[in-house]
Parts: sequence; structure tokens; C-alpha cells
Amino acid sequence: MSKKKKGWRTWAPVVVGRYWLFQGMFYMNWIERLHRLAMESLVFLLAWSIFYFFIPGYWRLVWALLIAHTASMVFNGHLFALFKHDLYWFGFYKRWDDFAAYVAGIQQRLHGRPCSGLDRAEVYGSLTRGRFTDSSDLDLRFIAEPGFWNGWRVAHRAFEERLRALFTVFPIDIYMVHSESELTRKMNLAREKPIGIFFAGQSGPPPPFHEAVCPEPEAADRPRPRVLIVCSAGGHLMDVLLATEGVEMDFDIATFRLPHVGIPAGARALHFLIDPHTSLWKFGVNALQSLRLMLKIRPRVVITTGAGIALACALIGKFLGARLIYVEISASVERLSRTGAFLYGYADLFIVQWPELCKQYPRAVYGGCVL
Amino acid sequence: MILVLLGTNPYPFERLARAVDDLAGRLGWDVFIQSGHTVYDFKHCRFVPFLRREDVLAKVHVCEFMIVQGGCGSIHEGLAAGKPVIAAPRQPELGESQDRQEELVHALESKGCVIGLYDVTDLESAVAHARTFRAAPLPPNQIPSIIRNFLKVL
Repeated sequence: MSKKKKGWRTWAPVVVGRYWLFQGMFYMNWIERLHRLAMESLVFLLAWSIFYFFIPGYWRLVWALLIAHTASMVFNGHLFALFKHDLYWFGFYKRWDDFAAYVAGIQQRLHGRPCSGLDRAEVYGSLTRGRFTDSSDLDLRFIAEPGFWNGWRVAHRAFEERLRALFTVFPIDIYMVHSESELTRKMNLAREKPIGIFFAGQSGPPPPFHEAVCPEPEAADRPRPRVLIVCSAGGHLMDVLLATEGVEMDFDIATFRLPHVGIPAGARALHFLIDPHTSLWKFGVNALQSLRLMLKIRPRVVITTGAGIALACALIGKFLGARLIYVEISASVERLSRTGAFLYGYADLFIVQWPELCKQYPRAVYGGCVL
Repeated sequence: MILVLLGTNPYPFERLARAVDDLAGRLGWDVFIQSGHTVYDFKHCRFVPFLRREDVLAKVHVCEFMIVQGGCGSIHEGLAAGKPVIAAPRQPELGESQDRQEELVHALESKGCVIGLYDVTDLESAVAHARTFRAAPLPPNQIPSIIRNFLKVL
């Protein structure tokens, strides 16, 4: 959005310092500013009440203000867009497929859990001219319907997306816009024709962002998606390997440590997780192991046939923006397994091996039996 | 040779082990058992607790038919090799497993793919059936292509 500047204004401490100080406060409209200040005040009050017991006098106030303002920058800011787009330091989502998949995720969230008061969501910036570079960020604007509470709700939704982008290191630059005149004033509409990614009252699936900007790469040079297969050893593992036989993907496998489990053909690596069984304590250990594994591998897709070992990986994956494919084991003919029933609501693709299950679970896809 | 797979399920499945061993002694069968976590004093059968997968496949290849627990892994090895399979589901109520295997065996039996053995006292007649049994083909597995299509549009 900003032009390349030169001189002291581009020094990193200046850029970060300026961002810390203003945090886009002069750019945003008054409702979003109010929302931001309200959030910051909450953190301030929390910090102040904790410091009440530790720090005497006015310092308490100063520290609480500093902490609240910094927290506001981190949790309600565009930190990774700043690093990638403005500072050219480092950035993730440099591959178009990853970037577009994240936007598709935003679309799905807007579609799946509509935000009342949101009229539409549009993408601006260099993407609208079909340019995607190593320093690209996503200039997203949520255009709210008139009225204070509409604006407030949409501003809050923008905050949620910011927070999510923080945890997935996605470079997002998102603001709420409250009127058409504000849009005309702030955006360079003559140069940039916005790409609509969501419209209130749209029926059917959201418009495909992936094709709207770049032509789809040829199937041959399309990078293979990074996949984590996680499931119990034995029948579950066999089921998942038969279900993914011949699928072009780079996959790691996570399962129990058992003496007779060899590394299956095609897998990049075999990882071990503890079996939570029914113990809450073991589940905690499993969750920590899963978190470490997920951060190490950063899979685009998690595929599982279940049992408790996969729960943590599946949920952490959803949180990190990965897709979840659940293949119900062949042993479930009339009822889903407990893990399957639990993850049914989270899975992006839910496959069953017996057609009877589709009646009870309409989102399930029948795929035949792998045996 | 009759191949018996009790699987690697961490629970004992003595019911089937006993029935096979008794009948093998009475009728003079040649039986090889992969016994897993089932600890049983076999008198008339050869047995090994665990086998590597390659060795299991080799045994499957040369056996006449198979008697297996109702787990999908054991059943799959038999079906994939085109051998007649007698499948005996483990019963969670008897402490033989955590998962119910009966549903799968019922479903496969109703499709004509396996011979279900729900009561081990029927083993002798099931074996007689297995000697002439031809398995019907399973519904085709389209899951890899569903997953491939899903990954394509990511």
C-alpha cells in the first residue's frame, strides 16, 4: 500500500517505533479506533491490577500503559505484514498456493460464521494488479453496513482475523471501513479494482480468490502439499495408508512407538507420540508433543483415521490453518467411532467407508471400503 | 496350511486360540498362529507372537485359508491375497478388545466377502465352508481419488 521510501524513515527502529506509537490509529475510522482503545483499556486494567501488588506509585501506571500498548500492537496489529511488507525482513506464505489457501480460509470463516453488519470484504493492493511477490501482504477491508453497532461488530471481526493471522504468521493488513465515501477517500480506486472475497447474502460458495489473481500453475509444477498423517498403529494406520495410496503428497507419519512398526513406503519420516488412552495426564503430554511436531512440520493438511492419539494434532492443525481430512475406519459401519464423532464438526473433508453412515452424518462423503 | 492371525491388539483373545488349538489336535490340521498379545499354551499348533509384515505376507501367500480376528488389518491381508477368510470378532464385553469388531464382520459377511465366526464352537463348520468359499469383490475404494481431488483445490 505504501510506496517505497528512502532515508531514515525506512530504518527498522523508526518503522517499528512509529508503528508501536500510532498502530494505524490515524488511519482507521473512529469506531474501530474506539474498539481498539477499549481492548487496550481492558489489558491496561488487567496489568494495572496485577502491578498494584508489585510496583509502587506512578511507575505502576507507566508500566501498565506500556504493556497494554505493546500488547495492542502484538495482538491487535499487523506485525507480520510490517515485517514482510514494510521491512522486508522475513515472511511466510511466500508461495502463492499457501497465500491463497489462507484467504480461502478467511472466506470459509466468513461464510461459515457470518458476521452481522458486514456488507462485504474486499482485497486491495498490488494483488489487484495480479502482482504477487515475496513481500506481498493481504490488504483486506471489511466494509460494514451503516450504524454504530454494525461497525463495532465488524471491527471486532477484523480484530479476530488479526489475532488469527498473528498465530499463523500470516501477513495481513485489515481494517474496517464504514462507508463508501470513506472507501473512496482511503483507497486508490482508480488504480486498484478491488477483488471481492465475500458479499453479504451471497448464496453458494464464495468467489474463488485463487483464480481471481493468478493463473493456476500447471499440474506438473504444482508443489506437492505437505501432509501429516497421524493415527494409532495397527488397523488405523493400515486404513489411512490404503486411503492415501498413490496420492501425490509429501507426508510424515506420527503414531505410537511400537517395535513392529516400520516406516511405510513413501513417508518422509516417522514420528512418535504417546498414546493418551483415557488418561488426562498422558493426553497433556500428547498435546505438547503434538504442538512441537506441528510447529516443526507445519503441514497444510492433517489426515487421520483417529483414535485419541490424533485429537491434539487435529485441533492444533485447525488452529494453525491446516485442513483436516478425517477418514473413518472401516470398522465403523453403523456408528462413528468416538474420535470420528468428535472431529466430525472440525473436519474439512470427512470420509466414511460404509454408506449407512451418510444418513446420520450428511456432511460425510462415502468413499467405498479400503479393505 | 491354515494361517491364524490374532493381530497386534494389546488384549488377549484366548477364546479363538483355544478353539483353534483343540480342533487342530482333534482333526490333525497344520496350523500356524501369529498370536500377538494372547498368551496361550498351544499344544498342536506352531506359533509366533509377532511377525514382521513381509513374513506375514509370505505366510498369507502360501496358506490355504485364514482364520483371523475381526480387525481390519488382519482381514485386509487375506482379502488382498484372495484367500478365504474366517473372521472372528473380538468381544469388548469379554475383555478381548476395546473396539467393537462385530459390525465390520457382519457388514463384510453380508457382502459375501468373509465368513463370520461369532461363536467359536461353530469353527468346524466354518472351516468346512472356507475350503470351498469364494469371496465376493468389495465395493471399490475411491478414497484416494477423493483425497487427491480435495488436495488439488487447496
